[in-house]
Amino acid sequence: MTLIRHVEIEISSRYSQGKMRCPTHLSVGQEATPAALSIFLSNNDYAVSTHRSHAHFIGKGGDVVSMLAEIYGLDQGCSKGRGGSMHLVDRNVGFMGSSAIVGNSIPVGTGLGHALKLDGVEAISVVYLGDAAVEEGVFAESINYAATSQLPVLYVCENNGYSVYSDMGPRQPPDRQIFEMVRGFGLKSKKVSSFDLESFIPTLRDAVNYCRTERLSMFVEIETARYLEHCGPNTDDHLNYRNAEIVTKQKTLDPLAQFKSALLVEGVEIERIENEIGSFVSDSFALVESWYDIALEKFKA
Amino acid sequence: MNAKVLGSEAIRLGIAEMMNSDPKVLTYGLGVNDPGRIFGTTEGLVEEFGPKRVFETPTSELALTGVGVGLALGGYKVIHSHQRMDFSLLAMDQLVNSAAKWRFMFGDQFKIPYLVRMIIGRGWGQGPTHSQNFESWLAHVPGLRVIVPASAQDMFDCITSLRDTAEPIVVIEHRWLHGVSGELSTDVANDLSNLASIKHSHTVQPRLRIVTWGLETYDSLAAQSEFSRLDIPVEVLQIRELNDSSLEEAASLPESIEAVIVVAGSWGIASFADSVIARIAQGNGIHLKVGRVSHPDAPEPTALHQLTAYHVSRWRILKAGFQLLGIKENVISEAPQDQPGGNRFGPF
Repeated sequence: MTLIRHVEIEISSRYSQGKMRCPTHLSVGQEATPAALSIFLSNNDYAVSTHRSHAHFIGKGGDVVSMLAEIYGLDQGCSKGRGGSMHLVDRNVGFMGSSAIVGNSIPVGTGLGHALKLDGVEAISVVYLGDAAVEEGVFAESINYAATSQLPVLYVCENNGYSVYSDMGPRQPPDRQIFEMVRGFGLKSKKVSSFDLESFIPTLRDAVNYCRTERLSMFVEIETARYLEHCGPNTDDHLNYRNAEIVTKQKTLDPLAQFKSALLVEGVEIERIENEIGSFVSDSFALVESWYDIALEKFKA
Repeated sequence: MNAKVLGSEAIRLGIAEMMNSDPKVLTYGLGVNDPGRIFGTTEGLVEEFGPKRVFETPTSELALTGVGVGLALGGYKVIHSHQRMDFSLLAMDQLVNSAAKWRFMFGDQFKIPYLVRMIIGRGWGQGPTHSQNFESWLAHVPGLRVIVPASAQDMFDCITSLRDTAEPIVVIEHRWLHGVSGELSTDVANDLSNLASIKHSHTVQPRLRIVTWGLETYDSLAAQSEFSRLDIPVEVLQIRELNDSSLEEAASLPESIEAVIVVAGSWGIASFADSVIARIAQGNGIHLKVGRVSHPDAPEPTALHQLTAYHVSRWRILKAGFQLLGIKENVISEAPQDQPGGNRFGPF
């Protein structure tokens, strides 16, 4: 969780230098879900993701340097500079790609689950999606297929309440919960808040175990919050599209801060770990920026 | 094996060949296991290979295209069938943004052995939404291979192209070709990474070249016979894959050629047919006479009497050839063709 936060904050602070020349959707505030899942997933499990994929990539164990190189548009990047921030991949850890089109990776991850079922192995496929993706037809088609064909797929829906700047008002009926709608499709489905770590982590653990042992699909809706703007390195609260009180309250419940406090109580050396992560992140950026300088010289030549 | 088979049987044999030689090959789509078996092209497959490898799906063209990409990423090879190309329009996001991109946008580290059959309907009142051929749209998308078989051999080869393909394949399979029989050799020593064009020629000094593909190959060959009856030497260049190298082949002309007609069973505006003409013009300047025979710029009507002069026919090709070569010959006016040959295909 800390690694993701450090990387994202560092991208945010360096983004205006103009070296990361691609649409970049930061995950600050939404780190908890992939961080918690990383405890329960192995490299044999697959995952696919969305336009906001950095946290999912890092949580799955993806190579941070190759991700940064990709965002910097370098040949050393995980997608050789062809994809950018929204198209990350690391086959070695089962992270099979992320897509910039809302809902696009949902059936792909479902198909990966089908492959695992045919393989007869224990692994599962994790499909990350946001709350707006459930409005796409392909979501309904995919979960119907997963439920009908009994595929080991875990759909992880991070509900941050907004599709870019649009709240739920024009998008979904007020009395309907996403996770309840999904239940109607025949999948086991739960809702949990990332601000409530005590129930959050066990819920994800149980969901992974359910897909793994029962070889069935499950949907988990996670209440979360994006702290920065939809796309880019800054905040956008001056646009007043979100309720300022709710945003402030969510930030005071920051899952990362909660987790750190819990670890402090347990006597974990937080400062040392943070320092290690901090140096790893600066070293990674330094390496990638040195590659960037070489590439820039070549490009000019 | 060498035998004379129907086009539908050649497809079936191609799928069976793939499934026999590789346990990771799967076949699915609406109708693969129903009593019709996609016009007989999947007959006997589920019995031979079992329901885990040959299966029906929900009516979800979009998701099942993405599922095909996921299966391909997970090590499987997929043959997905649509009984009409019109139905596959629901699948375009997954075809264009997933299947055609997953290899490129992740730095060529994946192969996408996903093959989708799109069947074109014609006759018996197929009408505006059971007859559409969007070959030019699909040829326009980088990252997709678009294969347009005509003969039984082409049918077999296009399916077995799945074996080594790096990119997803769209097979544009005309319903009428299921009933055309031809020689088939199932020895698969050919290089199927790019299906080269075939030249059908009776002469070394052709005056006219017809460039065509798919079903219209047969109209073109029929027109070639009519021309030869009038001692007009014509060669037919049959394209099998709609891509840049077939444009090069089409534009590489013998010196004796005076005119080129491109014949396509789809609409002409912004078409692959016009790309052929553009490529020829780029290579030969504007000296060459060129023509195109294709659908008029209108959806296909259902009623038979409204179909006059809608589809490509040998007579329309002849007429175009006479015009380009400055020959004054009358062309027989014709009734619209509702069925291939003497066979009845209704209700499909």
